[in-house]
Amino acid sequence: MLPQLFAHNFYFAFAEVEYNELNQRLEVSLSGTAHDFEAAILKEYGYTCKWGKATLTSKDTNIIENYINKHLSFHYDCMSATSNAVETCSTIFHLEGIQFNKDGSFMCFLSTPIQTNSMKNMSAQFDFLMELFPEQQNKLTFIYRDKSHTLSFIKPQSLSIKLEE
Amino acid sequence: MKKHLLLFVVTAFGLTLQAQKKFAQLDQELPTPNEYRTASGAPGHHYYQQKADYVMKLSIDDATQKLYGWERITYTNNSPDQLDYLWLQLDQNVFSVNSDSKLIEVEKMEDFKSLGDIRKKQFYYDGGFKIDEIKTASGQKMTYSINKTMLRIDLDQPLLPKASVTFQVKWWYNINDRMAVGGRSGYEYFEKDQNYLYTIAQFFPRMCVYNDVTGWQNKQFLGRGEFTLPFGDYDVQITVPADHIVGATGVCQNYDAILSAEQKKRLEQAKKADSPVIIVTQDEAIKAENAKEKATKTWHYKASNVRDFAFASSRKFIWDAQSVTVGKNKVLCMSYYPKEGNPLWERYSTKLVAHTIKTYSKYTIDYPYPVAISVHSKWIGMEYPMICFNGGRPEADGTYSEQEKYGMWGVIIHEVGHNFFPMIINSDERQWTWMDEGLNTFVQYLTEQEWERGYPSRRGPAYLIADYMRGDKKTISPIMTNSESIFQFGNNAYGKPATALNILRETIMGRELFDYAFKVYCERWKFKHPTPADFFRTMEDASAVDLDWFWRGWFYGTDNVDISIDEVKWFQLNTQNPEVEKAFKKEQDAAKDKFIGDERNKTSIDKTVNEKDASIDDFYAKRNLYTTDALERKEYEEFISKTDIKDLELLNGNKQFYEISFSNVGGLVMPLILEFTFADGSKEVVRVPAEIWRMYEDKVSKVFIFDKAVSSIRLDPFLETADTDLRNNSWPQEAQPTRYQLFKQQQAKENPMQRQKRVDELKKN
Repeated sequence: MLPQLFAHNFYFAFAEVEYNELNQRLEVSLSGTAHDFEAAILKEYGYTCKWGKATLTSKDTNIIENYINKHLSFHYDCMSATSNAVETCSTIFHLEGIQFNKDGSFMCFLSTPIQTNSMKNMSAQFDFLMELFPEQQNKLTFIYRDKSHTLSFIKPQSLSIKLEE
Repeated sequence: MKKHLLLFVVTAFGLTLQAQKKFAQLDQELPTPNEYRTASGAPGHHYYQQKADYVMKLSIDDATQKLYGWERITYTNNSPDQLDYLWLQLDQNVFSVNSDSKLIEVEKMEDFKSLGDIRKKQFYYDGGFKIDEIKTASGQKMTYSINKTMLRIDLDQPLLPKASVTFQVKWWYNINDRMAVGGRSGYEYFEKDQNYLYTIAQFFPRMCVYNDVTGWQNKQFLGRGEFTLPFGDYDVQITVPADHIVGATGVCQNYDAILSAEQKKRLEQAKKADSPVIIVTQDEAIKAENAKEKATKTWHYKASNVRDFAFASSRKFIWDAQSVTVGKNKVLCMSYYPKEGNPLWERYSTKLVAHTIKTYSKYTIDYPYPVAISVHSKWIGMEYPMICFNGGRPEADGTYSEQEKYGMWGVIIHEVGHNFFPMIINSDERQWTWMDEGLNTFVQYLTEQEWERGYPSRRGPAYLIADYMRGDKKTISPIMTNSESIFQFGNNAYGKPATALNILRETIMGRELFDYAFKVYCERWKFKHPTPADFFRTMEDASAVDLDWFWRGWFYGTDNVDISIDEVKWFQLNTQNPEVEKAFKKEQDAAKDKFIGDERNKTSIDKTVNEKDASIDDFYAKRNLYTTDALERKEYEEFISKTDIKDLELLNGNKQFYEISFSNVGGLVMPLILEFTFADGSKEVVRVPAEIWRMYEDKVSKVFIFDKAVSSIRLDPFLETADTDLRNNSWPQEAQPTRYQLFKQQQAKENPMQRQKRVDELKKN
């Protein structure tokens, strides 16, 4: 049985996030099922898209960026811009590209600047498509200074990683 | 850094012997072999299975979308047991107002965010079977009891071994609007022309399986774990509007009374054709859509030795067919689809059915049934004997994306493939989803690859499962988990087992051994009820490969593959020849890094004292460590005279020794597949079986000997083990680009559209 033809019973998204120390950015690739993503956009924005068929418009990219920023976020300790106090900073990703593959999957590429040069703790939320599919499970692999940490999300929740002692 | 060995050096493992876990035999996990199922994985000499034969009369009321049914079941008890009651499945009750399926759904307020969500949650549909009566063959009322999706009939007299009982059931139900309620079957309403397309299945009370493994398999149907059914013969009459076209399990007995002369002629042509012939054209279907006839016709179907029956009916159907020969059997491959399925369906569906039947027959058993049918059904894919319902609908303007095309191809191959698993090799779906979905997805992958070179299969290749298998194991279930309790159903029951079988075929057993053993399993268990143990045992029995470690790791466990190259030590043999060894020492010393002070002193100190005064240098200062003296030559000559010529050849063979240490970071043991690249640019692949881990499950080392120096080593170079971290797979360590970095590298290059622009510019000039 394949209950959702193009979903092919996947309900799975994966993000690979690397901290690029040279330019102090988080660089992200996010993959999932294109058909599910289109369904989520329809539900959230009432916007019908057939990304596999058409060239992306600026409206499409704005919506994709907006949706991803709602469903993928990071929090980390950073120094206040005005004082020496430690604050919590969050991420807003910029969509740099998206690929739609023949097998029905897609891959988005995003990045965001990070306002610290030493991340001791980091927390992430990755509830991509979970509002639509109860079975959705997402994984996020965070690569920090050559070490990788994988987080598994089965519900909308924030999970933490201790990066440095 | 290269080291020099004094003759042969015994490598001392800094490892301690561990208790065997990963290679422990599976005996404790598997059921004890018995007279019904042997230790070799075959049906035993007392293997039995029940038989359920059905005669049915059905009608669809197109005005109210109701199905009315009557059935006469003859149930034969081939077991050695006396049965006091019978269990039947009432799958439609999953749509009952008080169904457990709705109650056990985990919900949160976020699921009620919009009015649309609330409307959907509160959608009322009076689903479920309405049982009118259950009577004996002679018309006496029988006592029965309904427990949600299960129906127990209490017998006046116990059903003895080798005896049969016949009884009748009369029922009806409201057919579900599949687009609103969901489900594996139901109807789709086409608002534009106001017609219905029915895909009807699980529509009748069906006998449960009774066997040596579960007794009565009467686990409730909660919506996910599918069906476990006994084989039997079906004789079914289906009454529908006269302009409907019906496709069903089995062979139609009365085409003469149903089809026009022209349609019958086309059908006869199709039976001889090796490409699709249209039997009901789009024009004929459109005419029927508009006419909406009120009269009815009855289609009569018969099917032998099937485990279920399903059908599709609509006046919207276009119908095409072609023939394919499998062994001695001619199979009529057919498709039924509305015009909304075109142009995709007319072009591909029946050809895909034929290709699937041929390819699966090659890898499993010869397809034994007379027909194989693909019916267009928006969104879903669902399988029944000889017939399946498949999605893949183009846009209203007839265009479609590449993803839609591949989606449709994949779903048709998958669902037609289910004829083999579980329709013929009839495993217990309610208990073990992987036994049909996993095995089917594996052969689907093989079939896709034979349909188009480089077909973008999303499941099968090892590297595609790596993301699912990495990370926290709390959210991953072992494959050997009951269908209803699986986290990540698709990856667990479809993707991982398909990948595991692909790894067995490509890497662990090899294609020849695997294909033989897999065919043996299929032949042994066709038209029977296999269990996981029967599969595991047969694959070993027919191949002489001990796979207990593999089943334990991949099917009973949740570990992932992550093997790391920790360290590489390089050695060469000491030839004992002072000329050779001193020259080597000189070369090594010359290659050492130089201290900056020494380098500067070469020019800043004009002459040292001993350079100016010859009396300073004594024996030690004057001796040349790199030249050979007479005594050393004499000792070497003595050594040669005492040494066998073959040993001398070995000593002078310039052998290079590499001791490589590996860690099993992920926990799942796998073979070590190593690609060595030599200094001269040539390559060699060495495959070390997984048994290297049998006593040391966490760390092992291995020495590799070559005639030339190695410049780099890669572990799993062909991405065949599902290794989740490739960053620790190379020596010297290679930085693996992230997917983002690969994208940026690609972006830096000219993209195809930019290139085309330049081509256009060139043309202009």
